Amino acid sequence: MTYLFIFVPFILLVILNLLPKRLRAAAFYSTLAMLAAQVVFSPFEFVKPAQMEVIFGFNLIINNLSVILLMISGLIAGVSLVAGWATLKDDDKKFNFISLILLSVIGLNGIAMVKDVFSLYVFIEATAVATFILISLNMDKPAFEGILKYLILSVVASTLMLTSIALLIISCGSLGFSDIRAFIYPSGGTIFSQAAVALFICGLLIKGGLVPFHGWVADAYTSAPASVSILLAGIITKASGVFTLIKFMTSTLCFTTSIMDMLLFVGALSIVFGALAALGQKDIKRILAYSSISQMGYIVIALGTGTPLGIFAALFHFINHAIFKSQLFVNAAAVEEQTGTRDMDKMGGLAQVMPVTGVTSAIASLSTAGIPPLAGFWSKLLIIISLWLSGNFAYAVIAVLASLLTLAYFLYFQRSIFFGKVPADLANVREADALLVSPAVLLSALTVGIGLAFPFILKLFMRQ
Amino acid sequence: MNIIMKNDLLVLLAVFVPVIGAFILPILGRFSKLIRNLSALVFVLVSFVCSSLLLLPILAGQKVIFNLDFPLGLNFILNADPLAVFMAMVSSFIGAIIVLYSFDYIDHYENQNEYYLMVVLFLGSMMGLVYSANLIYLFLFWEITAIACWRLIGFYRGKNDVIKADKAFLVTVFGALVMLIGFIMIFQLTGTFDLTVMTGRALPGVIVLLVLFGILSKSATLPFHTWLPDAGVAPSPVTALLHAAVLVKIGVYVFARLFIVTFTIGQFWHVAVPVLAAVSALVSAGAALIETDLKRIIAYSTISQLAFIFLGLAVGSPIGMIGGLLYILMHSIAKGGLFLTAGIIEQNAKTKNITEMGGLINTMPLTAVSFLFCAFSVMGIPPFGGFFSKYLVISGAVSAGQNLTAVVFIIGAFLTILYLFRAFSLIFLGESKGAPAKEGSRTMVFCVVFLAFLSIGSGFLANYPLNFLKLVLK
Amino acid sequence: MIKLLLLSIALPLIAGLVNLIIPDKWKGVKEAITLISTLAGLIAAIMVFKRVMVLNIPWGSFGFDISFRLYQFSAFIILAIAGFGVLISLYSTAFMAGREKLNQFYAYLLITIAMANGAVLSNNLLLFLFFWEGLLLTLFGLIIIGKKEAYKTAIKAFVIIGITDLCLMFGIALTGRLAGTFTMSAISLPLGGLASLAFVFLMIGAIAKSGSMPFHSWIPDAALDAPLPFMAIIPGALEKLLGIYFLTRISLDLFQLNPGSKISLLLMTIGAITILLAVMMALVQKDYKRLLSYHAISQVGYMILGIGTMVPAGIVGGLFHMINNALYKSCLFLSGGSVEKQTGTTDLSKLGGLGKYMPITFACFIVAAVSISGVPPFNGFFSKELIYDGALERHWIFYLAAALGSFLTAASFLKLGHAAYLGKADGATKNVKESSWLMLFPMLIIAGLCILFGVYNPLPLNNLIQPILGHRLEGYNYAGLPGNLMIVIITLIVLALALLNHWYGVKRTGKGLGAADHIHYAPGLSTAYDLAEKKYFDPYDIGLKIADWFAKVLFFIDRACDWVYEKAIVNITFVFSNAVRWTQSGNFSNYVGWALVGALLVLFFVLRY
Repeated sequence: MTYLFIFVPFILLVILNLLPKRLRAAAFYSTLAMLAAQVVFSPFEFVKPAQMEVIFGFNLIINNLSVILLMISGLIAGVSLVAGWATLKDDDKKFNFISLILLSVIGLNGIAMVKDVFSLYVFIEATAVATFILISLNMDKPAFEGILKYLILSVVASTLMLTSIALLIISCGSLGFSDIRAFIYPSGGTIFSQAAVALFICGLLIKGGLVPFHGWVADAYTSAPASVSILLAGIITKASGVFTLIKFMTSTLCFTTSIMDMLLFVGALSIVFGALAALGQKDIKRILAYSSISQMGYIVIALGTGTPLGIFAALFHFINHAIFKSQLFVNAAAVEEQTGTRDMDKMGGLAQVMPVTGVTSAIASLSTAGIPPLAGFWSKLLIIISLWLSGNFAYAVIAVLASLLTLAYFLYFQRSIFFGKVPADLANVREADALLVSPAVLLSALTVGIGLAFPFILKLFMRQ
Repeated sequence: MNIIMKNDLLVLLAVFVPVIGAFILPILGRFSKLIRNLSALVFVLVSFVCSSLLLLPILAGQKVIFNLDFPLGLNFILNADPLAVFMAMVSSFIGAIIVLYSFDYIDHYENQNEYYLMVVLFLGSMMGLVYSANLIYLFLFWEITAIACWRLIGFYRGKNDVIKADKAFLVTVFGALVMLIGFIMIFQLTGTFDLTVMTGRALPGVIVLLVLFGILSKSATLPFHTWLPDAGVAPSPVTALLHAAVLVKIGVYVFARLFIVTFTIGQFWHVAVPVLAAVSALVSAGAALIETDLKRIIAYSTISQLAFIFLGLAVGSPIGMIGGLLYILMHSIAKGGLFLTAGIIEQNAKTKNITEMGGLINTMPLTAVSFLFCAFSVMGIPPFGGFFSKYLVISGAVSAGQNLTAVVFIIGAFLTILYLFRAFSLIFLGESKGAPAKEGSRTMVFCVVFLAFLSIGSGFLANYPLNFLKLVLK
Repeated sequence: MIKLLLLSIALPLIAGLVNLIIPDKWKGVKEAITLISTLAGLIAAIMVFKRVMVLNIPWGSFGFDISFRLYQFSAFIILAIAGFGVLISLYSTAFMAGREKLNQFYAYLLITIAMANGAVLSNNLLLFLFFWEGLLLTLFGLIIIGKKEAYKTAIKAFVIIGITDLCLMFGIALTGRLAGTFTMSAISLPLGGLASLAFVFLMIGAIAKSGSMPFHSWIPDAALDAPLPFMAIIPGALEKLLGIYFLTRISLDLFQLNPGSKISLLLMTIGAITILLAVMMALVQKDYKRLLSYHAISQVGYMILGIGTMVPAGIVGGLFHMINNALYKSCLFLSGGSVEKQTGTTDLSKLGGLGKYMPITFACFIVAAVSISGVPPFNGFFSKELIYDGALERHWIFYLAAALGSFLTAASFLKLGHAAYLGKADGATKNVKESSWLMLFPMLIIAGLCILFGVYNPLPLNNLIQPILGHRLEGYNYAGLPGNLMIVIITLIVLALALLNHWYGVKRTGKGLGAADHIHYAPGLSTAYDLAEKKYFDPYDIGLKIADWFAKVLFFIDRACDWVYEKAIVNITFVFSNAVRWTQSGNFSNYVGWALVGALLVLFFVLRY
């Protein structure tokens, strides 16, 4: 049954490409329907508590990682699909866009389901390939520059992962998560297995764009077409980066002190670096790009605590981040679409003329900055609590104060785009078209909803 | 309706009617201004009425607690104890007057829907903050008020306004985040955020320090005070709301809630906080004596009055605590009146610079007299209400043996008299410098006159709050 | 009886509030209400006189209790206040006729009386503070309804008295803590340490109310700005009564002061300085009311000196002087008022020869003037003798100051009388009429009392003053003729010298106004006088300057705090931010390089274990 999540998009992809050109309008709707179905049906895959194998306290989470990724990727892919349909002009581009989305969804769903390192690697690469083409959809120079950086660093990543796979075969003799776990947990494994784990993690960190592996992030996000960067920033790099990291570590239980310390350090570094870099940006997308580096840092630092609470917090922040960050990119798309620029200094007071975009982006920004009662607050709270309880006081303080930096640059973001007064040349700007507004509304509704309902969610997911 | 409805339902209504109602207002605003304004007033009044109704069970000595259990000590608890009810009544009452006042004041500006949304949301979350007996939900409502203030300070959308709004937001959030660390340390100590189970527990100094960051930044006390005068760029009802009635009282309320009612703190803090407050009182009073912008003057005066509240609450003697709490009531009334008069003056004299005014008493006598009355109350002249609170606070410091601090505060009170009279004489007396300004609209003048009379009446009736507040220390 | 007691507070209060609301159209109603209520007050005061009664009503927590106590002292003060109330309101009906803001004037007057009664009667320090500090409001109101520029003086008065009242507040808080109760009759603290501190703060409140230096400087300004009846009753009589009442209470009852204590020395010094400086200023004034106002200050010096001696003679003298001064000082102000009413000016250079046009006013003036100058057998003489007696008992220097003071007093009143009433009339004073009986009657009454209290001083001393001290007198009785003949002789010599000095001055300049010029323009003194007239020595202005300087410093601190937020933090953050962004060179090889280095570091770090 679960394999449908890979086959259906695959078959859909094939059929769509066989279709005559005039029927291509159907492609959009069918894909949208497919993604909607994925969001709706994946919850049925939740493992019942009875069938759960007991690891840590959060069996429900760890056994259902895949389900969560399925839902999120379906959601975000759908959003970016709609956004793309609204923003892309030329029909061929629209069609390529759709097929590439399907391709990357296949990859993501694959990542969600795999049970061994090698197929994990394969699906990551599949997603990456789709992404490369997506970024360069416009076939213009900046796009190629951005994609080149991404490509080169992905090659580095692939090399590292392949090396680690080799090492794993040598040391553990198998690539199944369960076998690896059996080999390294709780004994800690051999030096080879440790090296392998470390290398694989490095590969994932590159994919996730954490400092110091972040070089590609800003350019890739900025140069991609608006709708693509939604998909890219919202789900792809996160899924093939940090989500995979969570999945890999929880499935192989490679929480050795050295790994955890490393993750904590890398996390803190990315948090601060991303926040500081975002502070001085003038380009909407760049500010968001650096902000997501910093948010990835939060996820990794939480994972670095190695406590059930920390992992839960990391996963929860992953979900929230996927929601609010892709929403911010939707808003960015809307603003770019309406004003024709990404330079924040040229804007101001747009909340007057684009009220919905203004309000939703304010919600998402505050959620990112961890202001209650929005979803982002709870995940950050859990992260900080887990850091504190696991005794990493310094890291906790960094995480707290960095969210002040986050607030600072998002206030600047709000002030220069939406708050203030409207400049003369933008006086006649109107609200973006419904296809760009509705996803934003949906996502920010989710942000608020999760935020308000969090205590209940916690009750649901936490085994007392 | 019947008074004997379930009490915890009353608490829920007091909190959630304005919080949820706030989001209905913009929709109503699309149809009719009047309906929106009135319903805004009604939402706020609901919390006031519910809080007042809660007096009955409180005086009868019952406990009123609404509890919803959650893991990680995140139990959602609304606890209506005397302190909470007192604070809720004060803030919702002043809030209602301010909403009434803004009917005419805000009428000339854009974004009215957002204005009412934010004001009512603010008051609602204030209710939530006052009643919630769980650190995390307290923090949650705390930050919602911060969001509301952020929008409200930047209401006029000018570049400078928005920057000041961001400044206020950042400073207060900084304090709040440091405080959050303190809360998490409390969680580490007790394994829960639920305040009701922590009563009487001794609190390590470091936690007190961290929490104080939040309290002082929200209550605009040295060295986190400068955002408050800058927030004067907001429309007047907002500044009144921010400064006088509620926002700055959040900090002192949380101080009372945590360090008086719930935890016990070390003797060091009973000396350190008053000393800090003394410095704050002097510095801000001095600044008020120099400033020429009316709103900034009153804002600085608020800072220095807050220091008096802190003195009372922190000094550690029962008289002082009662005095501090009474001070919250009296100062809310008087300072609210001052800000609302400032609003009338600003709107009709077309300036905030007191050196450009003069002789206004001839054209706006009612406003002038109301200003004077509220000023008397702030100075602490009998029979105005401020006299009792000021005396009790000073006497509290003395009875705690901190005579030197008390003397410093007396000097602060000198300066209060000086700067308030400086403002009064420059605005209302002498020769008129600008164009003759006319009296404000009927509703607005009614509000300030009402507050002015309250600040006398609260003096003659001071025994009721005094005797009620004794329940708090029980 | 208790009802009568409360009536003396409630009635004027209510009457005052009524006056505030009744419209100006209704002619005479306000005056009627005022007269009736004050008369009723007087009757009540007489009826409760010589009774002792206590009333307690628990009100708020923490010592806020409504508690009144009537005994000799408070009864005496109540009586005096009520008497002056009647006379002054009678006088005002004529004097204030046709002025603006009449309703406010009468309202504030009545409320002042109510508050004063309350302060005197209250037996709880907090209740006392409530009434005492409440007087600020009416004081402010009464001054501000005067001339157009009067608000400056009103604010000055408010600030000075308000600040001292805050000191009083602190003193009361401290006293309450030390004594453990706020019930005045139950407090009796030994001096020393905190108690002395508390006493000083209470004393500041008391002497400031009575208008002693250095809290005096609003009175001369008020003399010119405020309506005259205000001067006659508030600084002239009422505030002296209250201030000295409280000073006596604290130094006799609340604290156990004893002669030779530093506090007593402090009091006497304040008294002596006040006498001399104020009278020096009075000597050179060129305005009827302003000259009187300086005497209103200097006479307080005698009372404080007398009480400060803490020997029975001095205390009796001080209290006796309090009532005497209230009498002749208000009489003098009223005479000034009738001159102002008839001639339209109080500038002495414009006045002259009024004696033959306004004989009755002149007569009352003479009686009051000789009384204040301490000429036997008028009341001022006897009280001063007692004070001299007490002062001499402590130290001759204080006696010297007091004697010198009365020399100058006499001199200045010779000058005033000469300039205003003698000489030849011209200009404003050309054939003016005597003022109306409504104004003359109060003056005559008071003048008569001045004489009565002098020639038959046992009446006040045995009935009003000495009962207050009770056992402290241990058998002394100061009624009748002064005991110490030597002092009397010296007094007479001093008066003769004053006369001589006046004669010399007049001979030198040829006119009564110039009688003091040889002192005014004496080398050294003249510059001091100029500076004083330019208010260089006004404690209020000096205080304001200090406050302003202080505020500037504080404001600088505030700006410094703000600078940290506005500049420092922001700039530091952006230094880091720029450094970080500088690493985003956009150079491929750098990025790859970091990635590889990072991977290696991770590897080493992980394998280190």
